[in-house]
Amino acid sequence: MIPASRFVRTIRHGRALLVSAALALSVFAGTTHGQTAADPVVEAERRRIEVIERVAPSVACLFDAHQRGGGSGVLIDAEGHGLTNYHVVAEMLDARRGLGGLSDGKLYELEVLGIDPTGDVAMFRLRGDHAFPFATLGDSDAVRVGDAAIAMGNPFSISEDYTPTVTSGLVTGIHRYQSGTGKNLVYSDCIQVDAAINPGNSGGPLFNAIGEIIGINGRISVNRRGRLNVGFGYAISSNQITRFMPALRAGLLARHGTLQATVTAESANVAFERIAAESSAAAAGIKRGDKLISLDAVAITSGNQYLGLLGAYPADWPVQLLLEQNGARRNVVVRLDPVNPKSKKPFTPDRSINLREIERVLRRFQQASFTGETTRRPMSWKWTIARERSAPQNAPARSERLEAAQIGDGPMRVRRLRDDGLIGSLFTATEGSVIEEVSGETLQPTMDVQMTLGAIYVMQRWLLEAVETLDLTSVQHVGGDRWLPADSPSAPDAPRERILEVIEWPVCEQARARFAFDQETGRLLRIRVRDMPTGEEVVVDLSELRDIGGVMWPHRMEITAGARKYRDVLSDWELSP
Amino acid sequence: MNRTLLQALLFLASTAPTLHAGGYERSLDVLLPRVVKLYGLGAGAQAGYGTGVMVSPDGLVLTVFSLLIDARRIRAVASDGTLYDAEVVKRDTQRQLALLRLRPPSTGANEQGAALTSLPHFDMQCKEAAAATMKVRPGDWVVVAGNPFKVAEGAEPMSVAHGVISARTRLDARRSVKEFPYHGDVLVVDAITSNPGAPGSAVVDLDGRLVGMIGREVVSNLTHTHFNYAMPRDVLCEFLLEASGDTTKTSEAERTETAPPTFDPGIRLTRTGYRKLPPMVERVRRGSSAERAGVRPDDLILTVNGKAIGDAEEYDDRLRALTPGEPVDVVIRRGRSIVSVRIEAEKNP
Amino acid sequence: MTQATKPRSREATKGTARQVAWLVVSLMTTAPVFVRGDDPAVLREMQDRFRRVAVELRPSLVRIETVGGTQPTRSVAPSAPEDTGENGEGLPKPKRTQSPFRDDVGSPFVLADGPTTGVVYSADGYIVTSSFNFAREPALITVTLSDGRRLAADLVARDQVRKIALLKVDATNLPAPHWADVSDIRVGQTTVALGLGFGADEPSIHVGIISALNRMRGNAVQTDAKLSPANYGGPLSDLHGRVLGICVPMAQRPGELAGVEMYDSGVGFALPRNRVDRIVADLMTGRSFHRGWLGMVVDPRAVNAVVISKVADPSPMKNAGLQAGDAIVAVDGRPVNHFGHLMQALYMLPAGESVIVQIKRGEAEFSATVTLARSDELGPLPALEEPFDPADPLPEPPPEENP
Repeated sequence: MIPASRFVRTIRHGRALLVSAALALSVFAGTTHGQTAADPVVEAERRRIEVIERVAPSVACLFDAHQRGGGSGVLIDAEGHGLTNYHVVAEMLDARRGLGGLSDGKLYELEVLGIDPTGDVAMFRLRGDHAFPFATLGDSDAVRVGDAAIAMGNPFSISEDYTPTVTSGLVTGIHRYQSGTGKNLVYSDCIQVDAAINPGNSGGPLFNAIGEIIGINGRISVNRRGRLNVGFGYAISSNQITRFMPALRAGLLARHGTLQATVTAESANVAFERIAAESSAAAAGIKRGDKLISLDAVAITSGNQYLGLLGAYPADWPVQLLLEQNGARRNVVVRLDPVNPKSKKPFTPDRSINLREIERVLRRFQQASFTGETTRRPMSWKWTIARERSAPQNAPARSERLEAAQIGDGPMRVRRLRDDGLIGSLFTATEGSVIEEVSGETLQPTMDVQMTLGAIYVMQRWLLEAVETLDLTSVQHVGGDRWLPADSPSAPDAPRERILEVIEWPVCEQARARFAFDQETGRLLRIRVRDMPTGEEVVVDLSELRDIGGVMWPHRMEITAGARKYRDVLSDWELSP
Repeated sequence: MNRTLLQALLFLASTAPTLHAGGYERSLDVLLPRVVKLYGLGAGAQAGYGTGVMVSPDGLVLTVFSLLIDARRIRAVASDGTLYDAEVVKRDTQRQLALLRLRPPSTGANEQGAALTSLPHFDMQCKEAAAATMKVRPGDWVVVAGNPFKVAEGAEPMSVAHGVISARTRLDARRSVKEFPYHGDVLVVDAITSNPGAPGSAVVDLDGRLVGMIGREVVSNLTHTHFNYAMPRDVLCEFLLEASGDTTKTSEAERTETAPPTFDPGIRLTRTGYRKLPPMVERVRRGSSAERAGVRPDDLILTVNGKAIGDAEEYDDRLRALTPGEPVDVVIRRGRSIVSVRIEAEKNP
Repeated sequence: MTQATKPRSREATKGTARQVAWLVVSLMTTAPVFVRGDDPAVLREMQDRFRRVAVELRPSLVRIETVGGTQPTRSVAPSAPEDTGENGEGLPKPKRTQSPFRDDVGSPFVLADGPTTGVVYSADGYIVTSSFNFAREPALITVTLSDGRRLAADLVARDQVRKIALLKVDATNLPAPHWADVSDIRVGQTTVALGLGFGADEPSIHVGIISALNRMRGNAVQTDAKLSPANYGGPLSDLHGRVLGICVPMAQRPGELAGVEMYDSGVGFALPRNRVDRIVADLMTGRSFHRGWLGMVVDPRAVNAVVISKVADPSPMKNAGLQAGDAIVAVDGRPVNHFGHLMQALYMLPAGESVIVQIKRGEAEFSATVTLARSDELGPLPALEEPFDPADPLPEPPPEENP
């Protein structure tokens, strides 16, 4: 808004303008809302009825394959994907089959996809020959105590026509913790409501006033009366679930993350106490006594809050910690270590589900990449790289120009262009092996260089290839990841935080690359290549997509290999079909 | 600011689509800072928990009779997480109410601690005539804040419930087999308030005015249902205005009622409000059955009667589930060794 | 705030226009899409609305008080057989300890002595209420009208399946309430439940929404307003004082008190006008409704099927020609995969109603019409000819239905 002082200056001569603007706006407001002035209570009731009518068809009554048992779920896309509690599908895991009833009165076959036993979430898919009604996820971090909350589900299994039971109340607590059984069913950062939640509501959606899913109901507190609602219901927050959705869609067992570090709190000052020696936190240089100021930009003021928030993240998720070490503030990103859930039987992910997701992600990537009429990948690529090497500190920045080419199924060749105009051939990369070409000046490519090139080779050679022709036997969808603007602070078109879907692809004998695609746009945002024997990792962040003759391709790569960082700006593309 | 401009902006604001702040926002803003979490500390275990309502700037807290009132020590946690000790300054057996006074936790033998001033509180205005007529009506929305089930810890905001005032009627109820002594007016609340920890919760209307306080858990004689009710503000005022004289201890007044006594072997576990702390023995009461059985400080309790114990709360639950009079088998980790002890039963005082 | 002292230039005026434009645009773009819930004005207006509903409907409410009667025998579990010997038509029948077809109470709930609620059904003195309120079989029933008159009431008849009862008092010109059109009832609309069970003269107010239509085999609408003995038998009203239904305890199992244990749970039921009218039309003739039985015992060993192991004689199943070994695969067209399904199909049917059962006997499939009977109309079950030997091969269960 305009600062008040500016108002004052405009007052004397802008009065007429302002008053007429005000009148104009009020007329506008009046005409769109004139009807509501009649009976605001009836109008509020009508709005609520409308919202409920719109979203109720997305709610499913869940049963096992024999139509026994009762739980609830909610559909989140037209293909029939839906969310529920892990404990609702726990008994269906042998055959991974169940039944879901919708408000159209029909029972649909249900397939269990991925599970998150620690967080008590699971994903399923209904089988049907038509587009399913679905609801959209909202931002649970925007929820405040006192907000309207509408729960839908099948308490006491009383729905005989599969229409959901709708109950209404308020959000009565946020960021609540409800302990689980051991490592399972922990509601570490849940939403508390007084809308009636009873046995059978488990797995069903919690909606806000405008019909967005803000949580999945799954727990209640009970008193001596027994297992029924006493005004204390708990829902797993939608933002927590969103982080796990790529893994759940891909049929995986999703693990939660831990820092393996305890904290102590002294009146809102939280400091690390014990850090496990083999943890990522220790590897990131976190030490006993370091103060924890914030976690993912949320100020941390108690040990419970620290535990609660952390419990909502997946294993390997990069969390941003703002620390104070020896008086100085430092930002650290740590990838969480895994927490292994308890399970009676081992859960083997279904390969066909995983494959389906790999194909979907690749197709969407291709859709995002091909701009024109062509859907054939270019057969030959040539381009120039202007490379700047920054970090480690104290090392002088170096810049160099490189030329790269990849023709047909042949290997990728990269040559450094020297200042004196001479050409030095560096190395070549092809899938499965790295060949050194000795001609002119040669260089022993380091492992990180091999890995980077191998990943980019896969990117150009395979990711744009028609999905049906690919041999995906050794390719895996490994779940989700997160991309943060901090990952690429200087990138001009850097998006906000994005959820990524990760496909793992072997690059060469000992290296595997994880290609991370934006869940919404399909863009490839990042590649992480890992050398399996040593654990060395190279991260390539891609940005600045531009059309290069029918293909949207990144023009900028930020490469991090241990302490070394490169910024590659790509240009002078020559592609041919 | 120029009047015309102000008028123009106000006109705009009133007709523009409202950025809803939520209808209960005012109630919540007033309510949450003015309620405290109460915990009774007995020997070795928590003796009841509940909620209290701040009624003066210098630390007077209104609450309801419960186990915690007779505890050896009462702890209060304010909405900002500040810890206080609380002592009972007035009781009312008939209305089942109690008035506590907060003090900063004693740090030394003779330290009094600074006097409390300007704490957020409800201005009861008991003597004002206007207050007497300011009664809430059936149909009015109310918001309730308290700590049922101990969901909130430390500075975490308390749990909230909402509903209308259902009715105003006279209370005719009992607690287990004993008739409940208060038969005066109560406000029936259209929210579940009959939960452990709820007694003492503050009830406010849409304007944030205190209209009542949730009473002890009772069963209505008229319906045989758990009764959701609040003691009305005017009854609270009667209590506050009365000179104190009733010093009957709660336990004496209700000798035959409440849950069967918890077996207290004399073990005090380490508790700091930090969730999931392992059940480590902090102290063993001198002369207790645990001491006789050989339990020592720093012992880590692994199982009680064969059931694994994950944290202090599970330990409390296990104790409550014990059959009085039966000995308890406890497996302990002491340093690197595993030790089994049998704690003999003893009558609870 | 300071006052501008410099004279305005043309530039400055243009700047003003820009600022004003920015103001207008920013106000319009902050016009929010997000609504958190009801705003304070709506909440305040609702308070008055609730009170108006209570005032509007109070004349049509009656306080029901009973004298005498016994606590119905409590069952340990909802389906545990227990003999109450009642038949709703007067004096309790003698206990029949042999029969397994005992109408159980359906809930361990202890009934209280407090007043209950009824609604004027017609001006000539009929009052509709919940059959729950007479589970104690009282000797005397009184009704206190809103004008204060206390009258003796006759219990005309009781529907123990759909849980409503009809009283008659000697009075005329009683104010019957307005009812909402059943076809207008919407999920999400506001509901107000009124009751006199807390002993006050003004009705208690409990607020909720319609949670679902078409529950309990189409007999009830569902609400999350807190229903309990305080308002069973009373009206569930909409925002305008129109009766949506009569509040009753209900659950998906037979039993007079089935569902009472769910009081205040946010899962409550009310019979809407069409059902009340239909049932009251029968109740007015003095006809009561009782739990309907098939008269058979099911084989517990059959897991995903319903197989008859014993048929009582006489009994509806016997009369329909059905026998041990027959498998029930559908009831009224709905597939039945296990005992729970069967109960779901039957629990809201009173004695006297008929169902069409689809039977599989060996290879043959056929259907039969079975008319449910009261428990006192059933004969004994046959004793087993041979003692049951677990080694015996199981009767062939029907093939699983593919839903």
